[in-house]
Amino acid sequence: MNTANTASPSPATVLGSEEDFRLLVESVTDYAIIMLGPDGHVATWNPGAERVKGYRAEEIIGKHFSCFYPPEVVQRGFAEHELKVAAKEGRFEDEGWRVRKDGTQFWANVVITAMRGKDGTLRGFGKLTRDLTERKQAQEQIKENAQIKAALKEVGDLKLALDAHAIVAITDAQGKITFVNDKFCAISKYSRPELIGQDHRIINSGHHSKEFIHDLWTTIARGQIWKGEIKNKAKDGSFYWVDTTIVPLMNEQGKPCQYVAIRAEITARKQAEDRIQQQGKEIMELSMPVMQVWKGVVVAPLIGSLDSQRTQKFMERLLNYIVDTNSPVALVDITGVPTIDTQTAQHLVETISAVRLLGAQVVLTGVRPAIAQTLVHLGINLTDIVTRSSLAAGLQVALDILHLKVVSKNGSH
Amino acid sequence: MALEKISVIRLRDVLLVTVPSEPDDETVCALQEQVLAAMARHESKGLVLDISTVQTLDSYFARTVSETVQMVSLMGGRTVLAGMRAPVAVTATQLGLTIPSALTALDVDRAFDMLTLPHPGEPHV
Repeated sequence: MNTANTASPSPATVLGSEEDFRLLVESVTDYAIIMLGPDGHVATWNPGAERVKGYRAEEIIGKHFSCFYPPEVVQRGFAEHELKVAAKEGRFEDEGWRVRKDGTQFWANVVITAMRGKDGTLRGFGKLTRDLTERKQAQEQIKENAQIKAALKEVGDLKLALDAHAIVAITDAQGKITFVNDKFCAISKYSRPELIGQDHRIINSGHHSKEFIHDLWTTIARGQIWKGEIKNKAKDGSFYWVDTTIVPLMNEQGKPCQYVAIRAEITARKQAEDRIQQQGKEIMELSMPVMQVWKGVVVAPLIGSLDSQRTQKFMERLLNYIVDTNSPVALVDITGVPTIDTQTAQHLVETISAVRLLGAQVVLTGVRPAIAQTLVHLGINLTDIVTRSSLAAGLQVALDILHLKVVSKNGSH
Repeated sequence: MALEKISVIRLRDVLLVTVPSEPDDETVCALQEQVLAAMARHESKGLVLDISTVQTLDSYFARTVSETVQMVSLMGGRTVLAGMRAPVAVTATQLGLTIPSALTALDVDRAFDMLTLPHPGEPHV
């Protein structure tokens, strides 16, 4: 089969003429191929350039090519710099953001080539621009995906750590439980299916007031974080305390769409606190007995140091007891006071003046040698107050005040 | 008006005045006037101020009573404050409202003893 006649090109169809080059340039629509004058003004424009940059040939020819750059780049003098480098080195390549006619930007690969005549004079520049926006976006997408993957791993790791430490539950905006972690199930003694879909009333202990619960809900419904200590009830009826932080998660409208509750068990601490409080109260009561030892004589032994709160309490008890028993003499015994300082002494003096206002007298007993020394060294003046070293001596003074006398049965003293 | 609230009772040679439960400044002033007038009229050994109904004590009251005690003393009498309530004593001490020149007694009965018995109940015997 001889196809030579039809296959071999005739001289008229041999490619390579200037016309062919012009056609080539004009048929390329994926690349902007343009020529710039030596000073950077646009000299030629092809359909590719129109497609990439948006200008039509008649709009742009004769204009300076700096209008292809974002304004801040033009201000840096980058366009001129490109031409200078191309003129010096023959070629300049760059990738960067360029501006279309409508103001949108695209990521461009630009090659500028200096065009010189046979004698070496600069005739202008050829400029080839490709729109690589899609490739750039794809690259960035890949980079972003990698970042997202890394971030997801980090979040997953953090979640593992959180689950290992804390009791976590997530509810929807209505308070229905949508997620609980293993620790939640363990402490509440409910299984996961028993909890999912319920609200937190399932573990409500009834310990907290309506106001407390109301405050919790209004806080988180406003999108604020709530912190507090809550007493909950487990499935078997036992109670446990949790230190709770509830974080509202917001939807796009800025409304809470989920609540994440993170809790740590503090039952042991709570119990210890209660015990300490109770013991404190007991110590307060224990250390301040007031009793009548004779008709008209009351004794108040003080144990431990006196702060203003205890003084207040002590004063009230002593004064009320004096009035109740109508006793003109009160013995305040400080044998059980380990050390005395100016403040404690001041509080004692206050108590004694209050007793005097009632119309009774105080005898301060149990002044040990060390206490006597301290009082003198501190310069505390107790000369208006009757003091004795022992309670027995104090009782003698009290009986004297009451004009009473202890007589032995056989007649002697 | 204020004068009508106060009655000064003479029992033997002692004057007894019951201070109203909420003494205002006017009443306290009138009390001083009447007490001094009665002291002059009867030449008494002493004065018993019964404050067992008084719920609050202010600085004006404390000062006026303190002055009255000194005035009565100048006229040859001794004054006993009787029956101060425990809460009043606590607040008075905390506010520093003391009446140093006056004697005190748990009730009116003991106050009379202090003024009439030969041993007036000094703490040191």
